[in-house]
Amino acid sequence: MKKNIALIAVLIIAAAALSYFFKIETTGRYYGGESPLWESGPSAVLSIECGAAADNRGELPPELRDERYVPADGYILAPTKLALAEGESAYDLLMKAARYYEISVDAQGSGENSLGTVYIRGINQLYEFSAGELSGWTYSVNGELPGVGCDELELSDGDEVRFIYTLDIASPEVDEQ
Amino acid sequence: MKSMTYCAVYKVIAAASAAAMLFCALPAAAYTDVTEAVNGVYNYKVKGSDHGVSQANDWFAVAAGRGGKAMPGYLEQLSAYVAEKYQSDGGLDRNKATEWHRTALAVKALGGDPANVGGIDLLRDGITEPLVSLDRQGINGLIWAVIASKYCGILPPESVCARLAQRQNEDGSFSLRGAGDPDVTAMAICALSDVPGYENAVSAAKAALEAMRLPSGGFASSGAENCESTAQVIQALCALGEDPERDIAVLMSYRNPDGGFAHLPGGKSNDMASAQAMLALVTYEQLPRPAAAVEEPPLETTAEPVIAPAAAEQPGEEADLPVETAAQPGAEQRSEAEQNAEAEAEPEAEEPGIEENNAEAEEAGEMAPEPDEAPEADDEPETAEASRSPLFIAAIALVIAALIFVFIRKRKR
Repeated sequence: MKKNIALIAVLIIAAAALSYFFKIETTGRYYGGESPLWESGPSAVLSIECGAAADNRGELPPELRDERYVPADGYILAPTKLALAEGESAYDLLMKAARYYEISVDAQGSGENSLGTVYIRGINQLYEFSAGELSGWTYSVNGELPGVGCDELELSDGDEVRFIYTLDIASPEVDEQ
Repeated sequence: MKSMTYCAVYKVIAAASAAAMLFCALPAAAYTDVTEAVNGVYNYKVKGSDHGVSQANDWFAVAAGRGGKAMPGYLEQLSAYVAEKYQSDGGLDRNKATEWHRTALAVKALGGDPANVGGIDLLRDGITEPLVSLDRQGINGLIWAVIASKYCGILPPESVCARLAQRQNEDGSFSLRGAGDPDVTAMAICALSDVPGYENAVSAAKAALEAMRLPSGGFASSGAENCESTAQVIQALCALGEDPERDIAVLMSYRNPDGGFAHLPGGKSNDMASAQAMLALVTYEQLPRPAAAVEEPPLETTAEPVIAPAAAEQPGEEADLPVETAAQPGAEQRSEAEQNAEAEAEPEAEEPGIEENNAEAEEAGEMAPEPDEAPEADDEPETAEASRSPLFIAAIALVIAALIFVFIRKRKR
């Protein structure tokens, strides 16, 4: 009897030691890296929004009208405070969050296009032109359109970054939501 | 005394005609700069590390194919990419028909068949029975459907041309939305330039385009003066058979020492800008000069690939002479140097210039044959130009006059 208890105790201690020394996590977390959530130091708030699409579901093709792609509240990612590393761009922040929250991002590399910057084609399966010929992704920092590629905009402590799916790229209303 | 005078007159005539012939050679010197630039940007791409399938590389392929240069392995890579995309996604893109158009252009330029890329018909899926509606992405879907049709040898669908023309702004320009944009206007000109029934639309667009020219001579898109806009304008002017000399000069200002072209003035070399610049230069290179008095070929002959920018000139009457004389030595060179069965397979070439270059590009597979190709491309337009310049005619007239003068003098003695 004592032997059995001792054995069980040893097994429990061994299991505890293993789980302490070996990090067990889902593949998503593994590939997503460290949690980007802010704990201390510089921070930035990031949100990924599709309110216009949520309000005009009819503009989307049938397969994209599901809440999975366009949540009812219009937030693919609600405003979240994330840790901001030195020299991080809006694009870096987006990718950091996307990896952690497992949101798909389809971006075109900076060498690929005329602009010489990263171009966001789609987020969460919502693509440019998915909701009409003037639909696509844009982003604002502190309520203003930066006018440069998201990989070219270096963020500062306290910045509010919003990636917005607009239905009218010619005059995106970044104050909406 | 008499002999002295006679000598002096003869010398004057000789000197005058020599000077005239020298003047004829000067424009040809400027032309050599273009060839040098094309080689430069081609080498920039070849020496670079990015040779995978990409939008910019697709445009390099179109430029390379059109300009008789090789992109070894790219056609295979592109075909594999198409097969893979069809297998995983059922198509090249979920929203953009232009993905099919650009890919078809690249395949065609590299000597492939866009109607059969590993069994996939890009022309059907992208133009005639598009898997993604041409209007989905707006005007670009329509423009490139027409351009791709012409380049790949099918008739541009009438409804597509009509829808495109409907989008013309009141001032004659074209845009994605709102005020006219030089890139979109230039592309629309390339699309409609030799489609019967749209002549008025095209001339209105041309006028609007000129109105958008900046004092510097360049063009701006979204407020930024850039390389690609000028490149696009060059292609439009070539399509209209007009000389884009001024725009060539502007384009060259974006050229960097590494051979590549920048997107913005003073910027570093950018792949897309370089590809677009190369395409513009190659199109300009192939424009026979002068462009005046060339009969436009009828569009109904569907067998002929009517390439948008060079369309007006390539199969025309006057162009035949320099092109054909070059084709013969080319064919001999090929059979001598390569002894490849593929050389025989090209005969259905409606356009000896392009097909010959394509065949050479295929067989070459490497950059080695460069020296052979460059002089060929050079000689054609230089001969054409020199043979029709008024100065040259004056020089010939002077020589003939001198000979007659001498003859008369001799008889008098």
